[in-house]
Amino acid sequence: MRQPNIPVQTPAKRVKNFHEVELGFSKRQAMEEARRCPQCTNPKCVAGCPLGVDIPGFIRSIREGDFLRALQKVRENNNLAGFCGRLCSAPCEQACILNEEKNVQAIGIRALERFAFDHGQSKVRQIFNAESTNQTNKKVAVVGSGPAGLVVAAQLAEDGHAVTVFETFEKSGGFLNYGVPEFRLPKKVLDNEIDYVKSLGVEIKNLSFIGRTHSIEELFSSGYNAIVLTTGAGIPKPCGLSRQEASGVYFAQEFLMRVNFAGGHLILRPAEPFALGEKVVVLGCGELAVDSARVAVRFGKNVMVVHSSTEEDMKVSQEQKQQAKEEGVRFEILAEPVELCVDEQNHVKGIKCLRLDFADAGEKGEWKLIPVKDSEFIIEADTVILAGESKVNSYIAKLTQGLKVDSQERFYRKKDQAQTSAKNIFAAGAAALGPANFIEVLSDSKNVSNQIDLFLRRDGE
Amino acid sequence: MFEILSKQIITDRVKRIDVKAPKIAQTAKPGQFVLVMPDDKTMRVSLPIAEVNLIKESITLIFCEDSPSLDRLGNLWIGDSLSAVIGPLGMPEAIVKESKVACVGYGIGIAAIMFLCRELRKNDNKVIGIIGGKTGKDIILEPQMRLTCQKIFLMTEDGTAGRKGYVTQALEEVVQNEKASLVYVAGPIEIIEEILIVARAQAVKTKVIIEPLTIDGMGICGTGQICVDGADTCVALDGPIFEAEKLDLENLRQKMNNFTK
Ligand SMILES: Cc1cc2nc3c(=O)[nH]c(=O)nc-3n(C[C@H](O)[C@H](O)[C@H](O)COP(=O)(O)OP(=O)(O)OC[C@H]3O[C@@H](n4cnc5c(N)ncnc54)[C@H](O)[C@@H]3O)c2cc1C
Ligand code: SF4
Repeated sequence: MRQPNIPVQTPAKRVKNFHEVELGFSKRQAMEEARRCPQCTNPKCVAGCPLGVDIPGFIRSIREGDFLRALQKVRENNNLAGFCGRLCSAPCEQACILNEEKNVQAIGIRALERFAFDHGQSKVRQIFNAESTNQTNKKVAVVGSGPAGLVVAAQLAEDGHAVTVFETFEKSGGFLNYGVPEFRLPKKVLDNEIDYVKSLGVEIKNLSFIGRTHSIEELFSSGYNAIVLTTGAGIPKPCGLSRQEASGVYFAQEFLMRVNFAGGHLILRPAEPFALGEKVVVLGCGELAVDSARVAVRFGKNVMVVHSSTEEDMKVSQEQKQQAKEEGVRFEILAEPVELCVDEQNHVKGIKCLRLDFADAGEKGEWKLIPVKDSEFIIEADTVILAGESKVNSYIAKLTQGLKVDSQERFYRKKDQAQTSAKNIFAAGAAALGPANFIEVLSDSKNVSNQIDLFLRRDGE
Repeated sequence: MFEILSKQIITDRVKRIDVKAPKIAQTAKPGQFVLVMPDDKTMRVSLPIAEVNLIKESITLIFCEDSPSLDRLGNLWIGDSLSAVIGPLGMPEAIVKESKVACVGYGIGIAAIMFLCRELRKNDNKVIGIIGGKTGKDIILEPQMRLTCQKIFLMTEDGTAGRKGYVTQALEEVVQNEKASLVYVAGPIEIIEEILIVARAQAVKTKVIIEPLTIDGMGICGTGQICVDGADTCVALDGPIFEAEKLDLENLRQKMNNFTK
């Protein structure tokens, strides 16, 4: 859903920088948008938000010009307002009652949430209140500092438990730190949200890879009553094409990690983090693919996203796709890559694809996408970025007795339960759901936190 | 944290540093590696743990300045601190007991076998070191290897140090005369391949220490995905030591040639 009239950097300008593309509402725009809200007594948007944010309530505070209050209202149900205001797929807007009226746009709830964060945040003084934490005398270790880990940590700290997050990377934030590019989520916002979580009393220990630098047993023996695995689903699966090891072929995760690490200033440097050819082809149809393509465009490359689905079936938001197109990313849809072509030096030079089309092969009225006969064609490329499927970082299971994974390598949880197969070990976010979008991850993490709180209060040894 | 306690310039481009890292020094096992960040603007880079010193609570890193990160690392001095050291990473190697083991290290690869040699020796193995390089300048850790191994073969291709010849020749002799039952090899992929030809001909079990291709240590970057025993495996998680027969050398050569740090 296109957000209403949010100022953005022009495409010509933004492809030359890594600054945020969407500039957010101005105060006047935010007030106008807030005034459009009908303030329903039985708001459908709240039911539509998996976190149950008090949407009419925070919008009312914006109307009244009390932006700090608006942020506080959002945070009552959503500890990561700064992220949601930028990355959430905003199911609330789809539920908004104004959709039922002709020629009226739904309220730009996500943009207002971002506004509340951007304008309320500057007024919050983040002072860690030591007295509010550790009231229960229970210690929780959270493994991973992605959105899931941060939500679990923030909520359990608010519930009065002593929480420590262990994170391998030197910086926290998970995918939001090393995956999502700066032009969609500025590092400043990330840092602010992490400071906010810390201000609730959460301790974050970076450079700690659980399973290697510390074992699960070690955590238990140092007194943690519960361990929550929020290790994400970031491991790239092999693309299944032969010659994947050819030079010039990278996983999107490596590409984004290197670019994110180097930061926005990298674009000013003559040397890129690694060799990128002139013709870059990205294979994939999700956020990972489109983000990689938009980054490559900013290096002045000729970029094409190739995928086998229809445009509607791409797993990215409408705005992401639209903005990518405006920036010059081309999309080759209904093309199934079958082989990577390489030159004598084993450097990639193209991708052999088959054209797909809907057909009712069995004549049973079951229309499916299948390859068109003799439709083979080659897309030239000197760099190929693989942005296909990924799987859960569940390596800890191999090293921990009793900790099981399911057939998709997700941490096994009993239906509707937060507990894994191992005693006092819980799992949340993409680590338990598999690759999922942000709001699904946050809502799962919230449920898991509630269950852990109950468990700790009840019996957590 | 992570202060450089001592530094040695081995050749123009090869440096050795001892870095204060108490927890890593206490827990590191042979075969494991670390990811280091010289400063917060330079990408993480993996390095084998060449030695640990429990008294100084430090680890030894030896590296050739062949990438921007390692160049930066080489420019740090005693008293400077590294921005981050993550580790120990990688699968610890299960150490055999009371066997005859040949450890082949070529050039900078010697740094990857040193710690292993020490642990093998501690476990009552007879450890035969075979170290080599193009010229005498490429040989690192020679005194330490002499102290650690019961027997040492030093081979250079131009004869500027030790015997003139190849590490493969030395390995042939060791397998035949000493009846070594296990071989470890670390070095450039071409040398690994040559060693494996000899080892296969002599039917001796061989393990390869691969450079841990990773920038995150958890398998997220996908850089270190190689084919082991027909399955996609992550060098940084399940390696860096693998049984030679299980490796797909063609696939490995490509990976090694591509990897730009
Ligand atoms: C490029 C990209 C763009 C995206 N854009 C959007 C978007 O616009 N909207 C949306 O809804 N979703 C988006 N997503 C999806 C979203 O990022 C994920 O849903 C979310 O990050 C998952 O959160 P998580 O906390 O479960 O896992 P992660 O964010 O993956 O975090 C896991 C963390 O755990 C750490 N870790 C792993 N193993 C260990 C261990 N053993 N010890 C210590 N630490 C460990 C990792 O280092 C990592 O920091 C995007 C994803 C990508 C890759
Ligand atoms: S978290 Fe997402 S769904 Fe909930 S109010 Fe915010 S934008 Fe809407």
